[in-house]
This record gives sequence, structure tokens and C-alpha cells, in this order.
Amino acid sequence: MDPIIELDQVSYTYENAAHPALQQVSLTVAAHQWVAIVGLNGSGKSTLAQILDGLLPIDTGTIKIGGQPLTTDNLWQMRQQIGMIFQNPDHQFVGATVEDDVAFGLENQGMPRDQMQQRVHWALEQVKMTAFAHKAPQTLSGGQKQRVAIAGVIALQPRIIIMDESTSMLDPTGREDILRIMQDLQQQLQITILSITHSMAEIVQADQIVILQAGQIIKTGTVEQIFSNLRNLTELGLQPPFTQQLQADLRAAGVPVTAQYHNKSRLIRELCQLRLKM
Amino acid sequence: MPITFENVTHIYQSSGPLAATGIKNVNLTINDGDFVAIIGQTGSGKSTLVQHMNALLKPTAGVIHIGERAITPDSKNKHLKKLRQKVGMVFQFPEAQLFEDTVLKDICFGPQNFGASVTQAQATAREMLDLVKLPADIAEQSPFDLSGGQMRRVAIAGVLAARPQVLILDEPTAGLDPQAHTELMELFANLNRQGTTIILISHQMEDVAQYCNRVLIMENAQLIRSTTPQMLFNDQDFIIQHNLQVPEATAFAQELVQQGFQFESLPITEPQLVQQLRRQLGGING
Repeated sequence: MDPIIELDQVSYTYENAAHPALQQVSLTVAAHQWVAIVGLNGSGKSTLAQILDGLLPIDTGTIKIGGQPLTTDNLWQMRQQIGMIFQNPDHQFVGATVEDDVAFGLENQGMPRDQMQQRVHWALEQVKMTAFAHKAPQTLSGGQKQRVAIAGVIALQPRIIIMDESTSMLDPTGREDILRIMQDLQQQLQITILSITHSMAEIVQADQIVILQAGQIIKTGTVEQIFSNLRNLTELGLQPPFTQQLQADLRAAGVPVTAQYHNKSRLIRELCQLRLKM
Repeated sequence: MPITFENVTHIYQSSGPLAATGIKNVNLTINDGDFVAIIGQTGSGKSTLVQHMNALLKPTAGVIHIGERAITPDSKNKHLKKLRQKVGMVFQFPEAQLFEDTVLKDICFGPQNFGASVTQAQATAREMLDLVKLPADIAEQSPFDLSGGQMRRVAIAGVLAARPQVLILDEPTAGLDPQAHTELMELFANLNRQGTTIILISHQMEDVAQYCNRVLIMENAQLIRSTTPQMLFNDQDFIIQHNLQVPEATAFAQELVQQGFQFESLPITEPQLVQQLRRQLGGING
């Protein structure tokens, strides 16, 4: 599939910083993928998100979105293709009601009123928040607020959505809820998602995992490729997924399970077979 | 310093039209040396509950005993300093409270406020930097030049510098990477082994299972249950009824049970699960 994002040798150093925040980063993302960006706090994940959206000007290298190089001239136009959802939804509310808030980006684009109303309605429907259209955002729960933030982003119909730890402030129910909504939207609207996250539950369902360390991409791969070797994962800001940790520990304890990568249901099947042989 | 709640109710803006119940009729005891988890949905009253434990909030009805002190609706806001030194509170995203121009000064603020001399406070601050595993040379830097994880540790060091006997933590590891998460939880576990009572608001059932000896469950402003993690995670009906989660080890064991496995008591941590499976499937010393 055609790449939607291409980074070639991108570097960026914050003012007065001793080390570059991003160093020679090259990355290709195919369209309609879910990419998890992981790494320790301070490894450059959020900087990467911000350079993609043109919020920070890169020092060297090139960025292409949908095959087009990102320049200072086309920045505003390119930005319309990218939506961002941040960690704390309280930081991005501007409207007095949910409806106004979702409409904000569309008003900025100068969309005619009728069309805008339709679009806002559509966006709220996608995140199942239509019933809250006239409520004040402050009265909503964390998960509901984050859904409104998502509606505000999808109303603009971007091709790419960047999530910067968008579920880390939510309780487990809220987190699952947001993930499910984003997965549905990705399928329906054919969006590409870049998600910066520490959540293992989210990482294991990504199409591609990108690991950053000290401003450099040190590894990319599928879930299976990344987690088939459990060593050094914590230094990379990852935890072994539960199933793989269990499998390794069972082997170490002498339970004869195979060493090959297993997902949960395969490991359960193997354990059942072992039990029948007992 | 045990903490006891007797029929404690807190109603926000109780005299106005916007009155809202924060907590209702709560009875509980937290003993010295406990590592207690408080769990429940967002808005269930967890934060309101803990804010009564160092008198940041006073009850609308009922009485709270914190060591020798009794806090009632009529308690005056005087002489609370000593209490707040003994009961330290780390709020959610505590790095938002950093304000000094160096890390050292920021950590010194608490001890100095509680009466320590500058020299004493600085010695304590350096000790705390070591305790939270921050490099000593960070002391003279601005806290605002640090990474998010480091800022979090500075803020926690600031609370620990008062050497509290009870430490209240409101989701202390939210947003941290797994390594920083484990290091902080181990720090709290160490403090607990040395005698500090820890009260942890958490959404992470893995932590509840691994570190806590007791768990309090809040729902709609009420304390609906006080039990052990082992008992809680084995009570599937209660878990489902109250929309709670179980640790991954328990969820995995439940799936095995559906496939015909049997467990005397469902494991709540991964090492427990490994041990039980080794016994059932044969392994080294199996």
C-alpha cells in the first residue's frame, strides 16, 4: 500500500538542549495502519508527533505526507490532513457546549452553516455522544470528554490521527471504550493512526510497533517480531506482554510449553493439551 | 498512626442548590503498616475519601480519628500542620505543583515549612533525591528542564522529605513508562516494609494484586466493600456486578477453568499462576 507518512533522516534539537530530541529518524507508514510509538519517557515520542504536525520545525531531513513534502508554505494545508488527540482532554476544550466544541475546527475552515451542523451531528454520532450535544464539556466524565475531543478531530475528516497518550488519564472502562471507538473509526473511515502509548493492551493490537530510544528509532516490527524476544524490553520502555511472560516463566519452571511466539488462545490450547497428557 | 472513619459523610456545597454527595456513611480502619488500595470508577468518591485522611476536607457528618487527632465537622483549621507532616499526600500529576527554580529548593520547601533549618532541609532533600533514584547532580537544575518522569519523582521526593508516617498516593504512576512505573511502585513497597502506611488510589489491578494487603472498593460515594485482593479477585459475581477488572493472571486462570482446569483459589499474580500450573502440569519440583 502507498506510504502516507515518510520521514527521511529527520533531526530536531530543542533550543539550548545538549542532545538532539530526534536524530536521523527515518520511518515509512503505510496508509490505514495502526502504528504504536513506544519508548521511555523522554525518548522523543511526543517530539515526533509534533514535527509531523508541523508544530516544531525540523532542523534537517524531509517529511512527506501523502507523498507531498511538508514545507512552511503548505503547512496549514497539510495540517488539515492530521488530527491530534492529547493526553488531557481538558486542555483542548474551547466551546461552551459539546456541539460548539466539535464545530470549532470547522468554523475555522469557514464551512457553511448547514454543512457544519450536519458534520457535527455526524461526528458526535460516530463517538456516540449525540445525547450530550448541548451539555457543557466540563460536566462530562474523562472518557466522555475524550470522545468529544475525538469528535472534534474526525469532524475535520483527517487522513491521519495522532494520539499522544490519549487514554492514559482514563479509568480502565474509559480506556477500552476509546480504543474500541478508534478501532471502529479506523476501519470505517480508513484512517491511519499513530498512537504514542505505554499501554500494553493497546500495543499488542497495533499493525506496526516503532521503538524510540534517545531520539532514534532503534526497532520497528510487528507485534510478533517485537515480542518474540523478551530480553531488554524494559530498557526500551516496553513490558513483555502477559502471555509471553507467562510462557517464558512456565518454560523456566519446567512446564514443557514450546518456545515459539503464542497469542493467548494458542497458549491456552497448548496448556489444555498438556493437561490431557498428564 | 491508625486512621479510623466513623459514619463519615461529606456533602459538597451542602447549604446550596448544587449540593453533591462526595462520600456517604463511610466506616473504615486503616492500621499501621497497611498497604491499602482504593479502587472504583471515576467519580465514585476515592479522592474525596483520601482528602479526609489529612484533613484537607472536613466531614459534613461523622468523625475521623487520625492517630490522636479527631476531626469532626466542627474542627478548626488550626494546628493541622503537624497532622499534615505525618500524613503526606501525592496528588495526581504532582509535577504540576513544582514551582521553585531548582530541584533542591523545591524538595526543601516541605521540611522548611515544617520547621527544619535550611541546612537540615538540604541534607534531607539530597537524601530524598537518592531515595527516588534521581542523580545527585540534578539538585541545582530547574525542575522544569527535566523529563516528565523525573519531574514526578522530584514532586514525590518533596512529599517524602517531610518523612510522613502515612503516605497517600493518587494514581502516582499514571502516564509513566513501565520501567518508571515499576521503580516507583518498588519505592513505595520499600517504604511500606520500613513501616510507612501506604494508601494507593489505583486503576491498575496488577498493582493492587502485587503490592496491597487490603483493598477498599468505592461506588457512588459509598464504601461498598473492604477485603483482601485475593478474596476480591476470586469473587467473580461481585467483580461483574460492580464493573471491576481482575488482574491478567486471574483472567487467564478463569479461561483455563472454562477449559476444565481447577484452581483451589484463583491466582492473582503471574508468579502464583506459574506456581499453580507447574503443580498441575509437572515441571521442575512439580
